[in-house]
Amino acid sequence: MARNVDPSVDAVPFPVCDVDLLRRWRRHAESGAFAELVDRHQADLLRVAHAITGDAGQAEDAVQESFLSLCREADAVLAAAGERRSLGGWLCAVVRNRCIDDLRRRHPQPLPDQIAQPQPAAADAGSLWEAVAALPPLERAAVVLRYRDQLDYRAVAERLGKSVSHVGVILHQAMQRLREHPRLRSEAAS
Amino acid sequence: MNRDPAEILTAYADGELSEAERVRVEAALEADPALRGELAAIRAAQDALRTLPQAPPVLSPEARQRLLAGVERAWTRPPRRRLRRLLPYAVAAGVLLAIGGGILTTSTVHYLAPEGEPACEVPPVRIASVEPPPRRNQAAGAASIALPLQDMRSEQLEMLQALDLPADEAAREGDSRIAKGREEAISETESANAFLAIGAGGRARQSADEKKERRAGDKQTTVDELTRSIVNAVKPAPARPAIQEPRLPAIPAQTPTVLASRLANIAPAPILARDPVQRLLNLAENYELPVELPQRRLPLATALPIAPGLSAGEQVVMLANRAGAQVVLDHGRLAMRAPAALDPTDRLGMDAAAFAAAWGSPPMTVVAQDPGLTFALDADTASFDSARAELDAGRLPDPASLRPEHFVNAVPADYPRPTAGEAFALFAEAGPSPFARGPLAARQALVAVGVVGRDAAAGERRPLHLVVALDTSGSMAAPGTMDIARIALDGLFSRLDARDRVAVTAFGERARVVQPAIGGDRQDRLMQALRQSAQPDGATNLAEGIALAIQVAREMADPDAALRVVLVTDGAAIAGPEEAEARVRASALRASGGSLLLLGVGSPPADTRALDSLVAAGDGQRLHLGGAAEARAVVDGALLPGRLDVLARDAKAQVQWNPERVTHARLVGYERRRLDHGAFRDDRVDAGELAAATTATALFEVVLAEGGSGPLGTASVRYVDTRRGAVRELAHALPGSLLAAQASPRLRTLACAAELAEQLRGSWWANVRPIPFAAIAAACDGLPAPADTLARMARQADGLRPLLEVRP
Repeated sequence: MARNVDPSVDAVPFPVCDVDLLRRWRRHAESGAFAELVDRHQADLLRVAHAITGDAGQAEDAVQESFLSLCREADAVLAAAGERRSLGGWLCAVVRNRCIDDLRRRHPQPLPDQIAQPQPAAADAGSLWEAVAALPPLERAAVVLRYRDQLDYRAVAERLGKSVSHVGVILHQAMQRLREHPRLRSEAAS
Repeated sequence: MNRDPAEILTAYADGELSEAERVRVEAALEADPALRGELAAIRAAQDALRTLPQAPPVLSPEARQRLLAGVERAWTRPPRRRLRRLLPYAVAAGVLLAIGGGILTTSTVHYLAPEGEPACEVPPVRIASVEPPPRRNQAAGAASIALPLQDMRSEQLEMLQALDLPADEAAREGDSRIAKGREEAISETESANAFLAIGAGGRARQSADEKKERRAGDKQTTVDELTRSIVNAVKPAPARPAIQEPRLPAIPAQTPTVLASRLANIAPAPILARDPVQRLLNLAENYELPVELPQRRLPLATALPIAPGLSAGEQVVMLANRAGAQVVLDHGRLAMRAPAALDPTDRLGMDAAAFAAAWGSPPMTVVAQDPGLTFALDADTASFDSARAELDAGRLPDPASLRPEHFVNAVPADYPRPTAGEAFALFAEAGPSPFARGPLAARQALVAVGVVGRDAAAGERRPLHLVVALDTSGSMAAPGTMDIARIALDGLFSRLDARDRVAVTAFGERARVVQPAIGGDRQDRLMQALRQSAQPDGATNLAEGIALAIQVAREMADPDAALRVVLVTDGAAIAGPEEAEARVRASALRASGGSLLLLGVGSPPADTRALDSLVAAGDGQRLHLGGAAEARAVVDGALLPGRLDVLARDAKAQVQWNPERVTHARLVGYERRRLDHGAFRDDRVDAGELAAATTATALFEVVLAEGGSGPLGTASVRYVDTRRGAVRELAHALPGSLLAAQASPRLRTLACAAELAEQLRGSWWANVRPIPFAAIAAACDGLPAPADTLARMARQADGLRPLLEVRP
């Protein structure tokens, strides 16, 4: 009957989903809830942003911007959440689009080659990045997420908003292009 | 697959090929050195890419701080909840009540203590005794409900109590007035059988919110104002626009136990609606719970006030139960959904005996292993009659005393009576079950097998030798109880004639013979004896009462007459050693060729198992007479002298299923009357007694073999014919053609009766297939009697259902 319950089962962890966190922030200005959202998603968003821009600073900017977009559009996001629990996809799409827009705006500016400087181990990574940076943004992001971050096709597809088979095609094209690059050709020869 | 070979090679290097593709690529690599070179180049390039500079794992502390500061600045006061969605309805805003110059709406109140903690944050919050939350006024009035006037009054009254919460002194002072007004309002609404439209509340919300905003700070909505508003409420509700149903996908379930313990910690919140579904929705809204209900509307009749002292969580579960929904947790969110039906053949890994012990009823038998089902027939309806009496009295019957076979027997069999010579005729019908649910629903069918007994014509019946044993103990003094007994016996005596003989005994503290055996035509003397004896007094010495009656009966025994002891009792004192003793005495009756007829009068005892075993020991039957009307009905039915003659003793039935056609089968009820297969032809085994003109029906639930053909099986009945003194066995095939495409109205009524019993007793089968009482009531619509009674019982039970049932 009503009170005949086992208290021990209360020990089961009780995860809070993204949507609930956002709702808490939205309704009660609970900044802790939003901070939790940031902590949950920042690594992944930074990875995606960095894969597209190749620049840690730009990546940080894009990620901050995307979280601020989430603030501004919280009501719409919550209204559209439906049965969705995670906001990772939404944030990722915002970061991705923002980074790609940034690149287009800067075009034909060459990509700043500044990753190499703070990292002494990557003496020749600069030229490797040059090869990668020459790829179209989507291919570049796919290659970096797949081979640097070792994400599988499905994970790459989720982050880029593409289908898994499309990711296969993108990666193949990217690899064809990359192998033309002298830096990689010499690598293969050795 | 039409892909570029190099693309396939990339995917191969990435380990993203299917097994078949991988094997083919490896074969090609084996054969082609150029391809191997290509692969090596791809791998080298991939490895080189691994050394690309890593992305920063987290935002720099400054960036994070900047971001969170920006987030804080970006926060604006949220718009009213649901406002957007409800804008279209705002025009049709609901009933607003004028009070003085202001306007008050009926309103749900969101008082979730720390301002609506989301559902997932259950554990630490326990707010039962906490003061009102700081921003209550803002929270209050987030929604309002437009309801027809008669509903609204009670709504409003319910709201009153909740609106000015415990902390509000003014409200406390006004409590008694509220309570009074509330009673009045509720009694007014009692007659209303309108449906409350769910979601009707939303429409008035926008304007309500505006008003509330204006009233913000005016927390002291005084009781006087509110009471006046009830008096002034005159406007009818506007027509309701169509309702949008919230929908959710299926969510993995958690056990009710886990759920309940979680829910126990949610703070109580006032839920203001008479309609349980509306209340559920209100509650769910308070807790940000997604809601999916299998039935969107319940009749007002099923509404009950919420029991005080329950946590909100328990209320959710209770309401969900009422609505026939299951509450599940998913990622800390609560969801309601229709409970899933299970596979009825699933034994949970137990063998049949363990299963029966755990669940109180045997599992479906696997026909391939065990094709037969053998049981003692039972024609009684007593459990049905007493359940009906209990429900009419506003109580749920004790699950242990519910016997589905009695419910099934309550459905009369309009089959042709047997032709001359034979005491019984067999009948059978089959068709799809209206309540089949779950993975095997398409293959499930109902098979009803029964016997219908000969109705002795007036001149044809054997003389009747009756011994009445009348309980005159103190408990029989309950108002009307003795009158019911008198009506039944008077009716019985009036139809006896000079061939019959009747003796009257009575027992209170002591048993005594009130009237030695005289002719059945002496009705005056018999009734006088009843009046003399029927002065209730003292304790019940049932054992002595039965012993005396049987002693008298022995003296009256006559091979050419039917001998019956009619025990009239309210059954209040049959328990413990008393019961065991009474049973031993009753079994002596069998030796003299007599049988017991137990007339239960008045309100039945909570547990009727003692009565049932007493009747079984006395080879008899039990009738329950809850009131005078039932007593009169029984006089024209089961108490007709011709029908008191026992036609068959030790009646047993056996059904052998054809494994080609039926894979699983179960007998509904009859748990306490199962026999070993060998007992069917063992005539020493005590089984059921069947009086003249009775029917006994056994309802089977079977799972049909896919693509099976041929007969369903065979049904046999074996009994001792009391008039011939010989054993008879009838057997019939159950042809495949029996299986109708559509269940007959009678079969559907049988299904409703059985389902009602299963759901009422909360058996394993109710677990397998949780059918809401409302659905049973709905299924009874348009079916023959006693479907109307079944529907009424289902509706009564719906309102009485236990709050939260946690089954093992």
